Amino acid sequence: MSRKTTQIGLMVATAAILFSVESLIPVPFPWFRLGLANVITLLALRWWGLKEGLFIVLLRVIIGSLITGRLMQPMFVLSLGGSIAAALGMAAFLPLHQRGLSLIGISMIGAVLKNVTQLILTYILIISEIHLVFLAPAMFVASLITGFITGLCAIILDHRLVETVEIGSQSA
Amino acid sequence: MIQLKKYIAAGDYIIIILILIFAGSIHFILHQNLLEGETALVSVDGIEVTQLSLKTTQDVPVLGVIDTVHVRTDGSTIWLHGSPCPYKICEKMGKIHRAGEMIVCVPNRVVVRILPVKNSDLDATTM
Repeated sequence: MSRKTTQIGLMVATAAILFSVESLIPVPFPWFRLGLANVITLLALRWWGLKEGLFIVLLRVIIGSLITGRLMQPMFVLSLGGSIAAALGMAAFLPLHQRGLSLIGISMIGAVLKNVTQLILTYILIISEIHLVFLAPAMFVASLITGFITGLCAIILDHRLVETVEIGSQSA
Repeated sequence: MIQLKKYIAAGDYIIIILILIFAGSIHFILHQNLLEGETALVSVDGIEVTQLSLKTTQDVPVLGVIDTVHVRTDGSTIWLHGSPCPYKICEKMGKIHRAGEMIVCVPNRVVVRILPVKNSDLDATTM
């Protein structure tokens, strides 16, 4: 088994645990769920690329939903859709990393896209109320805060892990 | 203490400003000319369950797809209490009172929306 496969396996496990544990913690404000598992997605996108990032997202949401008992429920679809949109958005902006954007900015873009996608999916699948748009401004502000925190976590982890462990595509 | 400036790039500030402007604009557009509401519509899974007057004090149990949640009014505002959903986001959305504002409980599929106030003068003019 290659080093890269092992590292991706560890990332999936870490992301699934973060996803499951975080879903048990009450949030102080609406939409203020940090989405710590997105730290893992962002790092995977940075180290390996979109394919591996999406692979981790898919497994993380499936395993996390199995653990929390929400597999194939509406919340599962919202989680999966939101996480995929965030991963695609972050991957699109990653080429700008260290060219004007840090992982914090990229993470904030991911957080906003995640919430917007979840709002749209809620409208399509669950509650067809156009007035859901009233929730958007608060969601955007919450996304900025959560994206900032997860981006900061990603930067710190990125520095620490790259320094201490041979990680990323160059070591695969 | 983490030195935040070390980690933030110039582009990050632009992202923050753009998102705040976008959020602020949507908020401003949506809340422009919002009047105080008088009646709230309660629906479950897209089906209207009841309409409640905000000018009364009530505690109405509403059966959602998971379990019962209480819709409460206090004479001017309306809010959800005792939701069976896991995150209680609907409860944390607090009290609403202006026409167009809404509280949504996604897992329980309960929506409380304050209906637009009918402007009798306008109706009379257009009639």
